[in-house]
Amino acid sequence: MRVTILDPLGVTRLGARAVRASAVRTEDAAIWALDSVVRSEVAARAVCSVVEGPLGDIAMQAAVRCGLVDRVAGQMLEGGLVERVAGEMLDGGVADRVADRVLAGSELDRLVTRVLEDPVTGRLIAQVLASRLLDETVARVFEGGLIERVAGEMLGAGVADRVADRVLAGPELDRLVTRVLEDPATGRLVAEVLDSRLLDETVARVLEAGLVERVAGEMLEAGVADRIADRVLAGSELDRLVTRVLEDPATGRLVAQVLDSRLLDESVARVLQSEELWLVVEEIARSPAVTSAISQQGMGFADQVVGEVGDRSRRADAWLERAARRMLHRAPAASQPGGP
Amino acid sequence: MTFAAPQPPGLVEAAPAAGTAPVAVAGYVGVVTRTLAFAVDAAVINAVAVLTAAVIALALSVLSLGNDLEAALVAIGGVAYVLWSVGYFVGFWSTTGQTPGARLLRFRVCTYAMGPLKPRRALLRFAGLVLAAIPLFAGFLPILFDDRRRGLQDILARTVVVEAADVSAAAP
Repeated sequence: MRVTILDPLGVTRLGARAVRASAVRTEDAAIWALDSVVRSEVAARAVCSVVEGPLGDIAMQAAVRCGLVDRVAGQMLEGGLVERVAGEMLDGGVADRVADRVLAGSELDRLVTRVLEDPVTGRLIAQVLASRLLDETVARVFEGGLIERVAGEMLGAGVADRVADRVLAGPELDRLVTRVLEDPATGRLVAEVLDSRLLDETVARVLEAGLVERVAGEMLEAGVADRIADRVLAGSELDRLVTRVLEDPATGRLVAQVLDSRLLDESVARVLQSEELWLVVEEIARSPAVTSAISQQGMGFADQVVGEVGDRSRRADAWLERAARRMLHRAPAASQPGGP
Repeated sequence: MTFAAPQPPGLVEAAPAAGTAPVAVAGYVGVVTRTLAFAVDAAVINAVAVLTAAVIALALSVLSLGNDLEAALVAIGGVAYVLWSVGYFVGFWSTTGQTPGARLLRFRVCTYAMGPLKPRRALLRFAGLVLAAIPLFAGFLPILFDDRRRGLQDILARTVVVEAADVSAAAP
């Protein structure tokens, strides 16, 4: 039996509009709250107190020991709450609008400034990186498949593409690179992050989940990789980075740490094991441009060798002829323009 | 056919077209370069001959042949080798003017008029080559003294050996 619900007053439409309006307001409120927190001196002092005092450590240890955070995170993940929220945000375009708003506004800039310039924040990040809690949370997140789903949705909706465009076109990337390069505290922070076990494990999990392949595939299809390459080559960041690496011993040590890390070895090993890489290599090797270049180079080398042998043999011709004529006291032959 | 006037060693004058002045185009090629090219040709001839002989010997090894037949086969092989050698030089000289060795070292054999050799003249040149080699290679000594670096084989066949690029520019 089919039931038709009449809605002469347009209650459904009104309700949908109300939901959209509330979503926009919620989004604005969230950004305003973030802005306020970042600008607030009270928040800074609170963070200072928590980080510098024993309270933060004790609370964190207690939370981990009692399993409180673990249970909360576990229930959130197991109950599908996070997935539902993420799904709603993605389906309703909230995440997209938030990303646009955050990238267009000054909040991200201020947040990055605060994170990079404040030593207290640096210590907080170091503590978080060292704690077991974050490890467990990350492990749960990966086990629940949330990251994959969110990444898939974002890639499908083109959010990542738009975010990449905005980041590449905006001044944030330039400012971020400048800070990373010029601030020694930031360098130490980056070194700590690179050195942490958490990063290794996170990257290993991301690689195991096959997320990198999918993201790379999507980025290649959308032309993001091309735009990133163009931006990096056209911008001044690469020049400055190279100059800094070459001139500064600290940056050199940082690069050495990166090169020595297990992360790089595993990433390289993983890339070398992937069939896609060898398919790409085969495709390049079989391309007409490469085969033509190789054959031209081979022919060029052979020509060079033969030409050199020919020149030497012609000089030998002339020398032998002069010697023979001298021996028989005959007049030397006239010079040969263009020949021996 | 117009022959070029005698020139200083190494200078070749192309057969002029009607109403145009002769053009000095090339250098004659000396004994060392020609020896190197001959070594390359000999390597090619022998490599092909050895491979062919090996294949035939392998095929015949499954058959039991009498001594007389084996001697006949050896004689046939010798004749084939001579024919192959003659054919190699005559064929290349009378077509492109260059054996593979000559092509590698970038020279060619041509008539005084810078034209290609006819098979008969190429055959005569090969005979001259053999004759020049018989008296302990004395037939090649004129190359050192002749104004156009000609050996006995060149004098007999009325040929010269010149740089390949120059001939291609001069020849019609």
